[in-house]
Amino acid sequence: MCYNSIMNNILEEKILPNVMKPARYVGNELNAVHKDWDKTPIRVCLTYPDTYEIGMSNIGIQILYYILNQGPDVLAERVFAPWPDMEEQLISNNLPLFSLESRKPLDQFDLLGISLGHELTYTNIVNMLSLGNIPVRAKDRRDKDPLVMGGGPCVFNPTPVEAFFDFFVIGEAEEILPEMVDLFRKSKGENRELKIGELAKIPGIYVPSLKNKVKKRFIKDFSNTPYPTKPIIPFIEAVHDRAVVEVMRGCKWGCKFCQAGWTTRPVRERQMDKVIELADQILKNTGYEELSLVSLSTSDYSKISELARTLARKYEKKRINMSLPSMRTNTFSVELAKDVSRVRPSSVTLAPEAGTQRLRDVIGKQMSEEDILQGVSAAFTAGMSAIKLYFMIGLPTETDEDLLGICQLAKKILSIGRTKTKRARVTVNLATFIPKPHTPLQWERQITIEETLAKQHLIKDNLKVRNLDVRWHQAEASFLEGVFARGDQKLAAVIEAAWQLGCRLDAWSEHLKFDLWQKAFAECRIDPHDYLKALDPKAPLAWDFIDTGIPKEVLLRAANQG
Amino acid sequence: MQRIKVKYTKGEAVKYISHRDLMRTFQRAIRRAELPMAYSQGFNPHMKISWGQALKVGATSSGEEAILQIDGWLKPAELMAKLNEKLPLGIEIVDASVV
Ligand code: SF4
Repeated sequence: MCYNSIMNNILEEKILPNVMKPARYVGNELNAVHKDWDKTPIRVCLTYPDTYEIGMSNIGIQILYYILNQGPDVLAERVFAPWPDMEEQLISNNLPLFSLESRKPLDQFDLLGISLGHELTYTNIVNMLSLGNIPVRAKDRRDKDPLVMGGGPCVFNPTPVEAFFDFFVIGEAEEILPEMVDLFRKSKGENRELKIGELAKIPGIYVPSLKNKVKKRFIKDFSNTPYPTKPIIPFIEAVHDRAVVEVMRGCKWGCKFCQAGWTTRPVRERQMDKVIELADQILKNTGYEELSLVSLSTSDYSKISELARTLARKYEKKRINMSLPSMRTNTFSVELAKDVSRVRPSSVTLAPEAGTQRLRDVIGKQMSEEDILQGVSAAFTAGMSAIKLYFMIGLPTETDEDLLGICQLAKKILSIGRTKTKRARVTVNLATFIPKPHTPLQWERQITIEETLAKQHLIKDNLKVRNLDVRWHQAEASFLEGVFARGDQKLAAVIEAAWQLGCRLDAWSEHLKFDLWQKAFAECRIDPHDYLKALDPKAPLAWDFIDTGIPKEVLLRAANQG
Repeated sequence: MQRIKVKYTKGEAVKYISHRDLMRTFQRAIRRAELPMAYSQGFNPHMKISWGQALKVGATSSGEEAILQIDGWLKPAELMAKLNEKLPLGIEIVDASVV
């Protein structure tokens, strides 16, 4: 019996019947691509290193999967982080972590592509490499091992995890992929160093072992860039389970804290006819009941009202609902609100980020209270009843007055809602401000866990109102996120130590073991608080070798405005 | 209005899908097949389907049942053919009849 059938037997007989949500590990979804392993020379495995439900909500993975599988000599498969029960089963049955499509162990691929979407997935990366029989550190890998590639938002400071990667794609991958595949075609069978050296010549690729300077890649012709019209439809409900059309890249606002805003420039729109064409095809190929037009700030799309109206009217008969995440209220009219809730009432999400005008000015969030109240009122008038508000705590120069401003604003919004509907409901989400690389606020300090808890309490104590819910980020999680966001190469040892101590799935509050993280820092003799301090604008930064197209002086100047 | 009872299989490829997920998968196939379904009224309209007993996760079956309410009129054989074209591997309608 060959290896694969032994593995299949163990899986079917012993493992799958005994784990939670076995469908996470089975694949076979509609639109998944199954190619002949033996007849396809270039084999890539893609992952977002968290559970299936989280990973499958990531459009980045779907885009790369689609583009790679277009190549007749390339196969792209998927793998996600196992839940602890599955990990235990794999280890006790002596099975490696395997891909969903061909059930091949990770070490049999040529390339493993890992999306770095969140700092709290870093232990999962180490865990998945280890379970997949790939040496965790890049320096220990041999010619037969896959090359391990990183991409996604966190690569704008890859230094904390660079020991685990052979190379990184900095910026947008769509145009790099074909160049990379071409290189794989030519260098099949060559040794590792040679391949890595060649990769470093591709603009936008950073190779840690060569320490090359790198300039971010971005696509110029966004409208004509390939986009998956047959996305995989998960059987189990993913976090975002809907048809998604990306309508725009970049954001014109330049809020000082926003890493996505500063690293995804320039702003590029997909032409309206292309958006409509994509929406048509995706809905036809998936049968989804909801269509979401996504971007960092969808209301800035130049023809948003026309687009929303066209799509809403077109799909109302088919009972397809539309959602427009990331709206700004100043462009949110009653008409637009009505268009998006034709089929089912939807909710509105707004991010004032700070509770007072003064602080919004400090952080460069150009949103006035008038705009906010007007937009909210439009939403309630159109029949929406739920408003979600996003704020940050711990922003530079923040005082209690700013925090109480959050409470006042939320209450004002709720009372506007109450004049329109009995069902009015407001949710306040509190995130801790994390200074992120390549933003004007990258030199600021991050508040401590104690300060975070005190600020959260102040707000909660002042928002005990019916139909007003407060949610907050776990202070320990924000602490770790901050450490790794502005971390450096020394932290790889901490990540490995934390993983060895048993840290996994740290983005899940029920799994985050902060005491083990503290132990890991202590073992490595690293004080994590050092990474949360204010930085000297004249001193070099760990991520200076990455050129996002925006010089440091521009960030500094922006920091000092307002 | 017309009610069509379908008998379908839940095969190896989908045996680990929960009943809830199976229902959603079915509804999406119906949408892809563009069948003229009847919908409920109200705030959150949904397709009118009555489902048989939920099958245990991990079990396969050759005869699960559901009743689809059609808005208009459709030949059961046509419904079966259209739907089978759109259902994922492992789920297949083996019989359809007006009830
Ligand atoms: S916070 Fe929103 S509006 Fe501001 S730059 Fe970022 S994406 Fe744009």
